[in-house]
Amino acid sequence: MVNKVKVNLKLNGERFSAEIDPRMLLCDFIRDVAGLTGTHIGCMTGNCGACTVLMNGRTVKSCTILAAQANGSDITTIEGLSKGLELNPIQRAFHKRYAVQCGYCTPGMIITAHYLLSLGKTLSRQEIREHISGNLCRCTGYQNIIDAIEELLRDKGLLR
Amino acid sequence: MAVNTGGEKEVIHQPFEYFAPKTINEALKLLNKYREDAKILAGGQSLVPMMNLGIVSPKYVIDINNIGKLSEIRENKNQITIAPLVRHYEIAESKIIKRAIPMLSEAASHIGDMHIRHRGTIGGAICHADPAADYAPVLAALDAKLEIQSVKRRRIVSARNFFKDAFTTELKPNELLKAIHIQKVGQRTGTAYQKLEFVSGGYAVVGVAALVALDGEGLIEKLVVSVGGVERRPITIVFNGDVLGRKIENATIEEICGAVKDKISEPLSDIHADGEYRRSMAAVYTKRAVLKAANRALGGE
Repeated sequence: MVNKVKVNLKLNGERFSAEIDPRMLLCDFIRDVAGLTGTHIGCMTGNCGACTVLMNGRTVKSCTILAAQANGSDITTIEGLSKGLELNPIQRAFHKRYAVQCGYCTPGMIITAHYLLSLGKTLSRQEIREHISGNLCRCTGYQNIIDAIEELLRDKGLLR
Repeated sequence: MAVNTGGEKEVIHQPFEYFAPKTINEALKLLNKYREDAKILAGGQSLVPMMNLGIVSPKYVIDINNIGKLSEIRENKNQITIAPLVRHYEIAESKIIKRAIPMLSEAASHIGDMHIRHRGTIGGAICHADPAADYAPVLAALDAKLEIQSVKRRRIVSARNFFKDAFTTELKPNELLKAIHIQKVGQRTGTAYQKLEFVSGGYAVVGVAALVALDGEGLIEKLVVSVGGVERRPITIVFNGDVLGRKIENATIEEICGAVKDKISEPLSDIHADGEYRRSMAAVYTKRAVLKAANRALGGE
């Protein structure tokens, strides 16, 4: 029997704590312990980006982080970006541009888009492509996803 | 809130004990106690996926992310010191590093993707010693000094001797990489890193780091080329008399590229590229890196 570890963190703005097996990954903690199933799990090897969340304001892949490592951190998942059933502007843009096919990569894509918008930096279409290179869409629906992010940046005057 | 505390369906099969020391001494003591059974966890961008896949199964995991001292970039007159927990995005964005050693920022900005760069660390990447990783040739070309610490002993190893084989370094099981010291490059000296990758942020099929110093007349005063991704460890060539004192022109570049090709005896062959292709590309990317570094030595971009 191994030791359990205590994890105290902020999850979508609220304090959350649990005692867990140290082997538990942050993505499993979010889904199975906190019950937030909006964060998807794809590859478990840090390749696909379906499990992307914000950790202390920066995007990370939650399958490459032990839940124990998130102790004391501030985690935002897809559920933390909108109020209940109301879509946020990023979700609306994805909806409008049909930037969703099967939807599996969508939470990670939206977290990444949210982070890019929060940077307040001017980006070109090519730079958007580079910035989302950590998020794979196996439907290959990239054009519409990039269109949606482009539109969001244009609305803020941040499209080069 | 009642919660599932895990234990039944963990992706990582091998149970391990988890430690999150707050000081270097505490970490070193744990490492000294558990040695081969322990793994240092830095950014975890290679270690955690390898644990998920069952490739690595440590019994003790020593997470060093809570040791604040290991996250600093310090600069003095002649030298930059980078602590091992400094993350790739910080190295890519650091004004100090961009100004003094542009090729190090260049290499960092090409590692993986944005999310991986947010989390992965320079110390973790070096100690993992993937032959296709980006920092090794850069640090070897710069002759960076790696400060290694165990409970009892501190020693300095040049980056040129640190990488022993694929995924194998000079580090002993009870040692921790504590700092990376890099001499600032002098005046009229340029550095550049040029990488062949098949997907954005992919591992280097070939990654070439070049350091070029020119004298007042634009003749080569110093030239170091280090090639990663091609053999099991970086190949570093410190050029001597044959090339020194010459102008950067086609004949010189051809000779430099020829010397690099000759030095490659056992190129890696895999699904990404066969050995001969890697050898050819090593020459192509050497040319690009040397030209870019020389241009920077003259004050260009």
